[in-house]
Amino acid sequence: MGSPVKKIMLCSSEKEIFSVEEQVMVQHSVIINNMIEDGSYNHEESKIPLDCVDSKTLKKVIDYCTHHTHHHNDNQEDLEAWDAQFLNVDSNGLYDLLMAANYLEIRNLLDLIYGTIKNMIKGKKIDEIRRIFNIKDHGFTPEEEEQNRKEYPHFY
Amino acid sequence: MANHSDQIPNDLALEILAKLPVKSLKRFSCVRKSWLNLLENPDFKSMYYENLKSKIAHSSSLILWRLFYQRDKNARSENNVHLLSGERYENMVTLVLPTLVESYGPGEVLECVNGIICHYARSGRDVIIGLWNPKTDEGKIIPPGISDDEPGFDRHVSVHGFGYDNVNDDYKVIQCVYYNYSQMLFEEPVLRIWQIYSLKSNCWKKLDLEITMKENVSRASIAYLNGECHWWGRKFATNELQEQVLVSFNLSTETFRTTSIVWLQENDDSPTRTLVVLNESVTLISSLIKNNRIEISILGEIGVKESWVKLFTFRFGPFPEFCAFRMGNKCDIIFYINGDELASFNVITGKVIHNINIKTRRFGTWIYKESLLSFTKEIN
Repeated sequence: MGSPVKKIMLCSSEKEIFSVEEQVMVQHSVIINNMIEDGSYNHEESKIPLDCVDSKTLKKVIDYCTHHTHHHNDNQEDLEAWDAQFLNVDSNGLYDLLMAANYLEIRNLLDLIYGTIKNMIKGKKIDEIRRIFNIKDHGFTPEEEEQNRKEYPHFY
Repeated sequence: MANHSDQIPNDLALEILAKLPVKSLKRFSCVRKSWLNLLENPDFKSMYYENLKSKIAHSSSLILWRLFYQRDKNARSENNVHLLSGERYENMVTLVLPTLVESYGPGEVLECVNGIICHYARSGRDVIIGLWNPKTDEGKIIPPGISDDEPGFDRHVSVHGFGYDNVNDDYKVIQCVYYNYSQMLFEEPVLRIWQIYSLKSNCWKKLDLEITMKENVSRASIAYLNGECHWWGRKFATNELQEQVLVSFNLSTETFRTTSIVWLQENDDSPTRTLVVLNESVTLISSLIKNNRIEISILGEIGVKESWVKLFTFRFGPFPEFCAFRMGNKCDIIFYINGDELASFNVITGKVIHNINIKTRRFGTWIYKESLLSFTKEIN
């Protein structure tokens, strides 16, 4: 029998507490790794407050980190299939995941989401790209916008 | 992501944009005003170059064809083909290509697509073209094209491209048979017959098209990208001015489009140009000898001359006249210095990294990804 698995507590914006293997989060999240390393996390009483991550998103993030910790030796195809299934979420879900991965600095999850959004905007028309990034104010005057439309009609 | 209430933060959006091919940059410049000159934003630029580097680093090795002059009493020239790999191209394997014509051996390499090398050699007035997969040692000599002699005219053959037709799952070669009045080699040809070979049908077919031919062989270059063969040529206009154009021939539809590169001809320095593929885009490397400058420009959309984006400009030199520049497989340019020594120049850092211990003054490079597929069997 080995020593019991060390756990840490993560607290979502709804104050729901998630208990996760420390190693899982340390391996994936730069922020949590730093907290453990510099001693600012006390295993007896601390929980890490993640005020900008809701429970649903935090659960997904933990799923991702757990799977990639325990299955990193799986073949590439299986991992990619799992990732594709994992990111099969609606646009709000994807946005929340992006923000959470960015906040927790989970590099491989960020790259995965970047890749997904990259494929979404590839070859898309201007209006669709604006919608995907949710750009409300593009900053062009109506005259400039008209000029662009004239100059690059195939983009619109 | 239509419903989320917040905009994706700009720094995250830029990370995503930096992953896309540079041809998308023009498009992004219309999405948001602050994205107008993305490459002038140092953060974006460094992200973009990092991605470029990591993308290119994945390609395993480089095919190098060179013409090599033996300095013995016969002053012979030899065609050599090598496979280069390693951080400084220090690993060199010499490939033994099938002989096409007895005295010329394997001839010159034209193109390398999906692990298949297309090479050709001249035999009198004809050109013998071969396909060869170094990994499986599978080779094929293509039957001769359609070329009848016309009395009073000199007949020439110029191979223009080799590539994969992804719609019909076929490999194709395009060539031009052209006729000059005898002894008038440098005049505009009086007759041109374009023809295309299909590996599937194993025969040539005439194309009823008037296409601009590629530039003089030793200085011009061709590039295959995504089902299209590209070359740049000189159009003879009626007012005796010559216009340079990029020709893009689609191997599936067997039609072509042209893109003007007239904007590149602004100054009096006559650049040497090489057509390469960089980051999924048709790319032109221009070396301006008088100004000791190299410019790298990428074409955003074929047929749209406004979509050329000048990606890099370097001041460096002097380099020899008519020196060809080719792409290496680590975001570097390969060229020759000190007469005939190949060297590699890093596009991102702007520095000459090192000499490659190979001598030549005529060469070509292609990124090589090995393939185990049998091209003759899979196709038929």
